Amino acid sequence: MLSTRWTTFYWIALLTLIVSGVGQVATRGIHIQRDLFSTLPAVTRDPGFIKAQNQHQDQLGRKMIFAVVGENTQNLQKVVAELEGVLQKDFTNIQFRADVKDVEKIGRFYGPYRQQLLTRNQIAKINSTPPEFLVQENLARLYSPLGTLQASQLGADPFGYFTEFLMGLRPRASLKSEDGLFLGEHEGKPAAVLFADIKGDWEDYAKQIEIKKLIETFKDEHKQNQIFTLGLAQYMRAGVERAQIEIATIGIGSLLGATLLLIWLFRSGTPLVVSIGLLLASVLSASLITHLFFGSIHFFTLILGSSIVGMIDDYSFHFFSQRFDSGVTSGREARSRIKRSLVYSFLTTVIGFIFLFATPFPVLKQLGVFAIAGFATAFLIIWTFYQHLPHRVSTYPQFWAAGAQLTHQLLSIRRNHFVVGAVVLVIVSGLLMSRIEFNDDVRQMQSLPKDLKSDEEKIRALLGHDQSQTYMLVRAENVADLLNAEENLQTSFFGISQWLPSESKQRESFQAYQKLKPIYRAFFEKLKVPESKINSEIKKFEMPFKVVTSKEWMSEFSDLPVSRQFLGRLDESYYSVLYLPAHVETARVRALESKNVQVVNLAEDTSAVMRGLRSAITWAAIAGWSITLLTVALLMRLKNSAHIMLAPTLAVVLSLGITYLLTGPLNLFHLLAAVLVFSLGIDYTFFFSDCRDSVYVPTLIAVTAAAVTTGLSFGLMSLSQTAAISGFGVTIAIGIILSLILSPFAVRAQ
Amino acid sequence: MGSLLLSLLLSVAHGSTLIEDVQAQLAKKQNINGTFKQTRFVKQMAVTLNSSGNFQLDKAKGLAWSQTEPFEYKFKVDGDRIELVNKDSAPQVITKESQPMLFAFSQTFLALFSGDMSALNKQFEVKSAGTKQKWNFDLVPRDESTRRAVKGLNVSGGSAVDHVRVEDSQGNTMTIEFQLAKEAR
Repeated sequence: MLSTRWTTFYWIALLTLIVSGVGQVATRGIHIQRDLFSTLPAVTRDPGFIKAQNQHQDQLGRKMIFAVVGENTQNLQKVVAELEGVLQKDFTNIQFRADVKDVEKIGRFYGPYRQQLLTRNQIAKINSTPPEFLVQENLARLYSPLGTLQASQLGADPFGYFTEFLMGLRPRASLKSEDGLFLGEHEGKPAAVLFADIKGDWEDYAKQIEIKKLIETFKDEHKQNQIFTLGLAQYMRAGVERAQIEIATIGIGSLLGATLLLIWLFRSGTPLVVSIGLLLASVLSASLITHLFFGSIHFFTLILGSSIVGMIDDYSFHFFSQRFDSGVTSGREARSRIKRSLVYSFLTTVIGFIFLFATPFPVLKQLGVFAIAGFATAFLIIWTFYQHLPHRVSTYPQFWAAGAQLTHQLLSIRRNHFVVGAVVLVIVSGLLMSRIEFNDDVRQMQSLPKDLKSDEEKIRALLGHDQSQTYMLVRAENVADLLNAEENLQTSFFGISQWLPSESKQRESFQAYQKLKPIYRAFFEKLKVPESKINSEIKKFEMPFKVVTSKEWMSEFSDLPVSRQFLGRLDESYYSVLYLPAHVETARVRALESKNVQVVNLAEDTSAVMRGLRSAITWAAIAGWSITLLTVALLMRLKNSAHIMLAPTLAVVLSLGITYLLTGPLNLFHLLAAVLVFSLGIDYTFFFSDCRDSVYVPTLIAVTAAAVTTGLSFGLMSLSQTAAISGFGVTIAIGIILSLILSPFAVRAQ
Repeated sequence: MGSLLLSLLLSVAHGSTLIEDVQAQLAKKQNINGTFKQTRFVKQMAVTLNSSGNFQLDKAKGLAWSQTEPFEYKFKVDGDRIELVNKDSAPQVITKESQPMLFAFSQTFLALFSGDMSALNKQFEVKSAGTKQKWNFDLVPRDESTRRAVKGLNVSGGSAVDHVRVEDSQGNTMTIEFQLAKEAR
């Protein structure tokens, strides 16, 4: 028992921590990290690329695509114009027509520089093809019935090289530009496509709801048209809406259920109120200490950490269940009864979570600090404060006596039967473990709303699936190097360097173009063009080289969508985005990665984070389990440690195995659930190891209270529509049931 | 006034019927072949380019074009690609992805040549005149951006297309006269 001096010291230490934490939050503010990639080990994170990716993700996040299907283009013209009007308030960069003036502006700007704008393929062709072949090839094209286009530009662009450059500027899509609209076809009807960017904070839920209402109203007013929409903000909003519904049903239902059950189980409201206070104090203290320690806290730590720290209430229930033991007459005596399991449970939990510290993942380190801080706070509160609570001996309904009798019979089975049973379960667990497979693909962990998914498929079909979800980020010290770096990657990638070739490429083009002088002359002579006209065309070759600068380009085209692929100067360097055609395989593009080139595929990258975290948690869990076994063996002797460890270990393995058989391959969330199952399972076995003189009722009530509250808060997550959350809930639910059945055997560890 | 309105209505009705009749007539011929004479006038360079050769149109396989004068070359066009074969050099393949404008034009030309009026009707306003035996269609692009490049097309014929004329917005023209082989008539 601790002296009053030590108790005072604990309280002062706790208060100091809370005050310093609150002080830090008050002066520096709370910094909650939301970027999933900041959970990655520091070595793989490049701050510049993080900024670039975030900036680009923001651009992608605010982008929305609308498609309107109508009977004819006249109707579409009208509806799209109305849609544009409606979108003005919440959207910017609204684009639904290929403006002829824009096309003319592009032609006017580039016209004087045409000698500097040859593509890589054109330069290679000019340098490698014999002049007479070039002449012959272009004569054939001009003479062919398809030569009409070439004929219309015979003077300005005899071989069509400039036209080819201009055509390469538009990202490939199956949309046509017709009647001033971007037109595609949906089920045989014309469909107009409109692109727009959300104004302001697109991640703001209120904003997302405003947009949803706007779209719904517009759809109601245009029932004769089918209208499809696509945007990340919509998926986010749908996710929040679903979470709200689930919280409102599962969450409130489970909270209400847990409250009533606890009052009924303990026949008093005090355990409930005190346990809630304990939980709040522990989560607050854990959050402040983690924030103090790391300077920020990741939302992943906050959510998962709070869930783990939630198990703290199991200690509280264990304390209050002593009221059902008539032999316990005071709070101090109740604490004394649970002292051993409280200390052991606290020690093993701390040891288990220390191992998260050994992983290279910042978020797991944070989680370790959070859990230890939360458990330490709870331990101190229970140790120092609970004994002063007024004690009241309670009676229990008769069925608990029946439960105690059943437990007694269960524990009376012969030793060799118990051993055989344990061995059988271990073998079954081993077999299940050998079959378990993992799938970390984040796409199968989420279930997207069907209506949005269907709209997305229709819009993607209209756009022609021409752009990959993968993109590249390129970095350089200056803009000139950035353009060079883009050009050195591959020509089929779509980036700003297609619009603005680097100075070196412009020079290379200019030199190659000079070789065309005699070739054009020979070509015109073959066509029998009058000499005076040939001379005036050839005179154009005298135009001097004048580089197109990025400044000049930006001042002219900063409103074009492509200009947003130039991310500007971030972190002392310049960054840009390259889009890739859909057919390009991400694995092949990854081979091009270097210090200054990074490939981004959000789904694959998130899956990789999940895989990394899962692997790290697996090893930390194995290490934590081993050291827990060692600690328990040291504290309680090896034979007793087997009784303590067997139930939670079997509960973990069997819950994972059964979940796998029920739902298929497992992922990070199942493993996190397994960690929780072990943590709560070992608490139950420690509680049972406290039983004296075959008095099982208090422990049965404590474990039932713990299992029911955990089951209601986590187990009901199995009803969630989101696969990851549901998987987590299924594993926890199975784990709790197994822990409840197996933990009474820990009585043998007395 | 009444008779004027009646004749106008009749002419409209006659126009759409004629187009359908011609389309049905042309659709009967799956394969045609013959010779062509083409004249291209490039206004800006003040040159006229004459050429001739033979052709084969197979509705399943597309059009095979073989120029013999003033020099030899071949090209094939179908729904997916264009292939240009020049004497002594490797074939040049053009797809929708590599040159969308040229490809779109090739599809229009193919529709024009095979008399696929339903495809042409989507892109052009069609004015028809004549009879099923001797018809003449004037086509004007519906879309403004196409009108900026192509002023209009004219196609005429009888049991098959025998004349095509394309005029661009700068005054350049291309005229092709077709002569069907005897067995194809």
